[in-house]
Amino acid sequence: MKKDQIESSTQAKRFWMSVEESRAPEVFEKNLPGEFISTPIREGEESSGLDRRDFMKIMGASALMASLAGCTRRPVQKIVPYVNNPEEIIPGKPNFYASADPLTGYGLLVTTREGRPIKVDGNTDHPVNRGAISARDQASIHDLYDPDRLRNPQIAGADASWEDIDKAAAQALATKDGVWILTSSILSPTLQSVIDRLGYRHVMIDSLPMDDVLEGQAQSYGERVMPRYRFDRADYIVSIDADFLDNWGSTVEYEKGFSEKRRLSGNRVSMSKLVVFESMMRLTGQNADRRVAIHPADQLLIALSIAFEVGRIIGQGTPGLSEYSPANIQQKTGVAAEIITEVAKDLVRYRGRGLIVASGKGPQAVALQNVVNFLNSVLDNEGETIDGLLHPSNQFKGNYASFESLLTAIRTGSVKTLIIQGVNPLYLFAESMGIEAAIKSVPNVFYFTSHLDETSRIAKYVLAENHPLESWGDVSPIKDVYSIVQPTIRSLWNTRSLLDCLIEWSAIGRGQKFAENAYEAVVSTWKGLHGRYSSSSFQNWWDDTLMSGVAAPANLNNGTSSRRYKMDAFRSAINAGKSAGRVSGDTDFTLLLTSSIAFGDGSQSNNAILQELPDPVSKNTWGNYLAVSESTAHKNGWKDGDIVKVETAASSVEIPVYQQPGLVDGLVSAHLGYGRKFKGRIGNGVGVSFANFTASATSGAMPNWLVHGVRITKTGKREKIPCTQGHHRLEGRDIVFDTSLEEYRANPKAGIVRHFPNPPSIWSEHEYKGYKWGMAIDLNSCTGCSACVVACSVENNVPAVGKEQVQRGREMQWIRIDRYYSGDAMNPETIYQPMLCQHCDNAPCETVCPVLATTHSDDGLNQMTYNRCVGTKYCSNNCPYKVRRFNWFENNAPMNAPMEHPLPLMKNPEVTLRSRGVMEKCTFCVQRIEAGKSRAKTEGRRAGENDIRTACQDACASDAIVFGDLNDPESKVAKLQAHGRSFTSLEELNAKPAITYLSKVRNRAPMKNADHGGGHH
Amino acid sequence: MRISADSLQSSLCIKIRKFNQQSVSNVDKSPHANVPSTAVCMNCHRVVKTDSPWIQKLTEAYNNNQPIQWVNVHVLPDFVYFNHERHIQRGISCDTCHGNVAAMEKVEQVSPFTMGWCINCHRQPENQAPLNCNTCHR
Repeated sequence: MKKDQIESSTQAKRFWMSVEESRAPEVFEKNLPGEFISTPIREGEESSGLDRRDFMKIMGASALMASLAGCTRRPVQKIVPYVNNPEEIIPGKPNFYASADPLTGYGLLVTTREGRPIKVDGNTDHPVNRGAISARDQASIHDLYDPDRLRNPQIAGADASWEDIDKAAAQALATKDGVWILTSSILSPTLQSVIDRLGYRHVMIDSLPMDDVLEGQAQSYGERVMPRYRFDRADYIVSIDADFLDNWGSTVEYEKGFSEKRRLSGNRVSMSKLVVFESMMRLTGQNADRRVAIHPADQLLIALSIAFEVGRIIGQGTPGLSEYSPANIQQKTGVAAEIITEVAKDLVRYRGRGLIVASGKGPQAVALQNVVNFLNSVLDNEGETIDGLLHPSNQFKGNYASFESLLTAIRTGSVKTLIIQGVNPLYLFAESMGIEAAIKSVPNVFYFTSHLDETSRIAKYVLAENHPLESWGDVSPIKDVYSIVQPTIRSLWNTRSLLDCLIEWSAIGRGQKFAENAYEAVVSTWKGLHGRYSSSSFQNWWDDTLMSGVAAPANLNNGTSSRRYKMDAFRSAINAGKSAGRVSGDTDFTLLLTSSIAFGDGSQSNNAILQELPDPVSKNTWGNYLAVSESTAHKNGWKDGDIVKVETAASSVEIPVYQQPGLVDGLVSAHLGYGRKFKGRIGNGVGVSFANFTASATSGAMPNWLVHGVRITKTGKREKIPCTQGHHRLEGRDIVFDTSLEEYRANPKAGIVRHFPNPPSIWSEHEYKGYKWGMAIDLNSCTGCSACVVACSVENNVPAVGKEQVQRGREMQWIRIDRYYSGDAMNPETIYQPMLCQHCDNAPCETVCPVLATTHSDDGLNQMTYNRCVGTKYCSNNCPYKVRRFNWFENNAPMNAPMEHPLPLMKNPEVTLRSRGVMEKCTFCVQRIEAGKSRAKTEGRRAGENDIRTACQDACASDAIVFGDLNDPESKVAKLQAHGRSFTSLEELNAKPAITYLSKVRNRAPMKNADHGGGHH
Repeated sequence: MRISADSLQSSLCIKIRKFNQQSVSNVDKSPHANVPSTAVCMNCHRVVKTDSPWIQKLTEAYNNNQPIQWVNVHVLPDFVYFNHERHIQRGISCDTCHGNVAAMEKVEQVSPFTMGWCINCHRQPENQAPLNCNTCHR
């Protein structure tokens, strides 16, 4: 049989990974460079000179010690014990501290070794994030040890002491008149009360604004509040561009709740349904049971049309709504009337259990919120799945209108002193906003920052800021839930937090400070909270809370509430709808700016691990790109990597094009957060900034993310986009399966195609007498958020290799999230598959290693012994899953040079730093297995599920990854592997992986055969 | 006995094992054998043998809050993860690997500390010790 015959006969459903492949697989294949062909080059031979790769090496650590220790003449090593051993530290054993993230309010669990934090995870006892944190939070540990951090405060560009700063503050703050403070949203009750007592004018803005939601809530219900969306209660979810699984709102909390409602473990056969109307293809749309591609200018029309239909079904018409009938809207927006009708019908059916969320773009953003609020109220979802009353969120408080009043005050000269923290105005806003001139005109600017950046260049006083892991504080993510932020390391540099400074400065004009220091200030706030949470003594309660990490009411997640909807808000939205829709005759493009899960607002852009984290949707790293639809690219003759000039009357940038399925024609999209000019050696100059596009006459000071009238022209230049996807093709083999809920109910094994069940083996089976480690990954739960990728890199000292090396396909991440598209090439369905070493029983890598560097352990691990590896790469060639990573260079430190301080502190001492010429891969976190086994053995028992959890499992907000002992039939992993949806990838190769996947189930009608890319024979 | 930094180290190794019937080297709790903090030495040496120049040196370092830098005699490569806790919990005594340190004037390495030497012990069936690469390398 010829190759193509084999393929067509074995494919149940054709998945594809990129646009070119879906169009012409044959051509694509021919043009694709070999997966593992990469030209050997010597270090320093690359064209770009010093360069990112050298910095990458700086961001790693030293294998030098290891190589020296191997020599016969060993250098004398010294053991330096403590003079006074801190009571709680046993060198060699980790300590765990509960803390919290000041930006999201999520509870954290910080692992420290010998007094230095090496890993941050979610606190499982915290009722909001319940043990999970995002990729950016996972990576925050690397920000702490960033060598580019600002180490001393500066006055007018020169290092200064804090005494000098305090003296300057004493003058500037002598009277509170004319003192303004500009911050990001403040979740800390202590910090808020200190600012209130100081009496400064306080302005908060969010760099990823939620102002539309807040304003909409104010107009609809009377109070400007960020509701707590209860995805854990919603059986039917409609999202209009609210990317709640990616970067909108309290994403980790949402993801946790959302995945719980969709888990099909045990005998459960029901799951929630998600319908997404989406402009730019993002994670939420990719996880939807039905995704509808829309133009962002049509958001309000679609919402009004749903409102019309819902009103019609429940017999509650509203005057003026009739022009938004689905038929009319279909004409205006191209969204099929039956989709609207069906959504409306389902919303009514799931009354009280549904949830509609939206994120508005452009001038109708608040009107859109008002419609959504109307729908939630009229469908009785308000109070059930939306909590705006009992425990609303504190995470977003920003208000760009108040920022405008700050600007006005500056321009009228009434601002004498401006304290800025958590906001980088010169990077955030367009130049044309005149922010630079405004800030320069303020006599005293105190700017808190971790790095010298865009704004610090014009601030007179630059205040080196603590990392949250170095500071005392507290935080309240939702009403009535409080956590203490406790330092896990003394400040590495001469830095202070905003709270430290404000407490210090509170004596100015008063003679006495509010509290001795930040710690005392937090304690005094908590003395006020004490009575509400505990009847024991304050000290007991404080100690307990410090240990558990959270104070929350017991019945926090129960209870319902309801607010009265103000019909005026809906009437004004109906009026606003008249001017909604695409600008007719607009032949130019519409640019939609979004934020990426890896990068957010760009404040962590000096973090190599985040720069190298593939965007979950495009799998591109190291910079942004212009996402365009396939037909737009085709029509204009653009190919992936063609650099185009994107311009408006006000601004222009050059950026590579990338074809993204799921966009409507005429719409292009790019990520914010890139194009930093002044941040650090890693972040500077990566990608381009779109800040200058965000000025708008209608949006006021708030950055406008929806830009019309954009002209795009080809420059003729090209760049290879550092994408990690093309390197991991699957050559048309079936490795993921999906099905519909209906089919799954009839047959749990639906959708799974087994070509050669139980193939014969030429190997004798391994015998596992003790443990047999295995993993189950539920593809139905995985949302692709990529927190696991970052967690793995931090836990296992996996280095970032830099843009040039990623372009050559040499990224080092041990776990990757493969993304497969299927179905309609214009608006496809997506499956995410976390792919890591499968720890095969019949491991193809083990049989080809000439030096026995990779072997099988008696508890089922595929072991990699670095110091035995000679780098033949045979194992990698023979691995069908392509999960082995080769160290082409000394990725941890420059050759023959020590690591830059303080990077050695960041490394996990339990994992070897791999040197050049060595193969590496996922170990199932063997250091955790060994530690867990050891602990259990000391206690005279078998290691259970709570003894050993892998880093990716800990990080997974949707609990898709379960690790454990397959020899224990009662273990969760054993039960999952026995589940009907369970399958192994590429079963026909008979590698017998220790990882099984559980098939993806979509809550929609079964696809007709015609929709599959060829039937199964 | 002639007093030297080395011999001080010898006697320490024993003393730190069981100080007041309690391990201060944490060798039964941690993968690493901890050298105790200077404060532990000073518990006795505040009053014991204060005329010794070595003890005076120790005291001076302690008073100046300076750690003592001990020479590491038993050096394993960085890619080897040896776990003291497991061996002590199994009842293997210190001198099995380290020799009779108490009798040494200057601490020296008595066993080769090579992989073959480790494995020799691990593969004795009566020891029921693991032979996986991952046991020591990761």
